[in-house]
Amino acid sequence: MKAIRFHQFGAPAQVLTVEDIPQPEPAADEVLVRLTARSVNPSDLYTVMGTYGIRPKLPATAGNEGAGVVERVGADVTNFKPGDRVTVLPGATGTWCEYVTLKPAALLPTPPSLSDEQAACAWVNYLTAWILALEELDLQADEPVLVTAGASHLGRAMLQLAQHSGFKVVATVRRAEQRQELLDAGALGVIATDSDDIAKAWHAITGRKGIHKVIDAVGGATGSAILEALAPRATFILYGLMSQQPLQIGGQLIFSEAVIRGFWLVRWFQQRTPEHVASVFGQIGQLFANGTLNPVIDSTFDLDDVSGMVERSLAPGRQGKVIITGPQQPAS
Amino acid sequence: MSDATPAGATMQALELRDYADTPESLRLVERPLPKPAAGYVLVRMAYAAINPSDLLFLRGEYGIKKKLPVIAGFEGSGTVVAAGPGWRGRLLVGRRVACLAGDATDGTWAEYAVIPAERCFPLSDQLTLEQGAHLLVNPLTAWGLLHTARSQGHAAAIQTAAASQLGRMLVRLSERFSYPLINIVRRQAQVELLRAQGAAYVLNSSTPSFASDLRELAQELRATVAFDAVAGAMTGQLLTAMPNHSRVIVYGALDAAPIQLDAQRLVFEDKTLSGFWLAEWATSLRLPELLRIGSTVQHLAQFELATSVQAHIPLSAGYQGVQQYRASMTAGKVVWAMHGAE
Repeated sequence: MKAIRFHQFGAPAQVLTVEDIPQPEPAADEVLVRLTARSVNPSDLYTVMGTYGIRPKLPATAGNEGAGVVERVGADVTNFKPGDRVTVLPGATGTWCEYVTLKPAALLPTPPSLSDEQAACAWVNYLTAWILALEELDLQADEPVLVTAGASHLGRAMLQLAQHSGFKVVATVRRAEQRQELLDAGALGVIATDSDDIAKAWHAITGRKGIHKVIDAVGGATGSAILEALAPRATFILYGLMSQQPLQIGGQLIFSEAVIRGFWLVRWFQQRTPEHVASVFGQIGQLFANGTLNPVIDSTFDLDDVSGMVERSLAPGRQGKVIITGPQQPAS
Repeated sequence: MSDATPAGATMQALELRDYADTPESLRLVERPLPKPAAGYVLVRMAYAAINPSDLLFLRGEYGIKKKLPVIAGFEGSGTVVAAGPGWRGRLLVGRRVACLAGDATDGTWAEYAVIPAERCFPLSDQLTLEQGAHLLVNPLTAWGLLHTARSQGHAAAIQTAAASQLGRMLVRLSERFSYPLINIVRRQAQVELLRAQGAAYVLNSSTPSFASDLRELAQELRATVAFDAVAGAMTGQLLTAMPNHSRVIVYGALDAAPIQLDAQRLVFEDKTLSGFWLAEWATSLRLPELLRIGSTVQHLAQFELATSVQAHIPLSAGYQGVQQYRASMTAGKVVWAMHGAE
C-alpha cells in the first residue's frame, strides 16, 4: 500500500516521500480500516521536523488523524463490521497511508453529519479548543478570551464553540484583510497583528484593561506582544509553536500574578481518567452530530501529491484544514 | 478626625521630583502636616526601610508610577496619631504599626505619612519599631514564596540571588521547615557566606559547570519550583534545568534583559512561569488567613525572618542614603530614622 514516510527528520518537503509498504493484517482484536481522509496538523509537520515532543523511531509513517471505512475485522471484534464509516481517534500514529489496523477503542463511528474529510480533522482541533476553553480557562458566558491565529482551523473551532457555550472570542490575525471573515464567523473583535496595538485594541473591543485569558498558538513576536499587555492575574496558555521563535517577557512580570504555561493534548490524555476522556468525547460528539460544530476544509490533496500538500500546509491565509484524500478506489 | 497634631505644623519629607534617578530627583522638603481622609490614618513615622522596589520606583521602573512630585517610600513603621472617618482607622489610633504606602498616595520617607487603614498592621509587643520598619516587604514575601511552594506540594525549591536579605530569610525558613532549597549565587564569597549560615545546597552561577550541576541537583531533589529574583537569562536556565512539570516564580528583575521562553519547554515539558507581587498576593488572601500569616511573620521576624541593618540614617542624608544602600545591598538594610532617632 502507499504511505507517506520519512527516514530522517528535516524539512517536510525534503524528507517526506510516498512509498510502497506492506498492507497490515488485523489481529483477532483489531480492525482494518481503509482510510479515505487524513488531516495535516502542525504537530504532524513538527514530528517530521523532529521538533515535536514525541520523536518516532525511523523510518516512520506520518500523520495521526484520519477517517475511512472498516475493511475487515478480527475474529474477536464485535462492535464494528465491514462497511462502517469510522474516525480514528487522535493518538494513533501513521495515518498518512491507505490502511491502518487499530483496536476498536481507537475508533469512533463517524456521524452522518460529517463527511470523511471533516471527520478526519474533527478531533485534535475541536478537542483542544474544548479543553482549553472549558477546562483550562473555565470561560464563562460573555467572558472574552484572546485567541491568536484566529483564522486557523483551531481558531474557527473556538469560534463555533463560543457560539454554543457563550464565551466571546477576540481573534488575532496576521493581516487586516482577514478581519471581516472572522467577525462574520462570530468573533467579538479581531486584532490585526500587522497594524493594531494589541493592548489598545483589546481595551476598545472588551472595555477591559489588560488581557485576562489568552490561548496562543504562535509564540514569538505576537505572543511576546500579548505578554506585555497581560492583566495582573492573567492566564496565558501556549499550545502551538507556529512562529518557531521563543516568547520574550520583560521584568513587568514581577508586578503581576500572571501565569504563563503550555498545553499539550498528549499530556491531557495521560493525566485524565478514561471515564473523563469518554465523557468529553461524548459531549463533543453530540455537537458534531447535531451540526453545532462543523469542521472546515481548506483544500484536499491526493496521497500522491506530497509537495502540493506540504506547500499548502505551510502557506499563509488558509481557510481551514488541509486534508489528504484518496487514493481513488476502483468502482466495485 | 481625632486631633493630635497642632494646626500649622510642618514635617520633613523626601520628595521625588522626577524619575531620572539623580541627586536632584530626591529632595528634602518641608511640608505642612497632611490630614487623613476617610479610610486613612496619619502615622507618625519612626523608621522607613529602603528596599529594592524603591530603587526601581525612583527610576520609574516599578509596577506603579505615581503622579509627581510625591513622597517616596513603600514601607515603614510608626505610631498612628490620627484617623479619618471609618471604624478600621479609629481602632488603630494610638497603636504602633508596620505600614505600606497607598498605590497612588505619598509614601513613608517622611516624618508623618497618610496611609490606608487596611495597610497598617499593629505590631505585637515583642517587636520594636525598628524591627517593624522592614516587617512587611521582605519577610512577608519570603513567607509567601515558601508557603506557596510547600502548599503546592513541591518536594524542593530553587532560589536565585540567594545571598540577598530575602534570600537569606528563605535559607533560614527552609531550615526551620527542613525543606530542601537549592541556593544560587554569583560569587564564591557568597557561597561561603551561605554555607556558613548552614545552607546545604549552594551553587555559583559563574562556574563553568553551573548548568549541569543545577540540572543534576534539581532532578535529584525533585526541585519543581524556583523563586527567581534575577530574571533575564537566568529564568530560561532554570526552566531548562528543572524537571518536567516545574514552575518558576519571578519576584525580582535584577537583570534588565528580557526573559526568553522556549515554547517547547512550556508545551511538551509542562513548565510554568508566573509572577509574584506581594500586593496582589496579599489581596488574594482572606482576612483571617492574612492575620494568621501576619502573626506568624511577626513571631519569625525575631528569628528566621530577622533583617540585618547596616545603618540608620536621617532623612537629611537624602539621595546619599539611597546610594549607600545601592552600593552594598547584601550588607543589610539602610533605614531612615525620623525625628532625630538613632
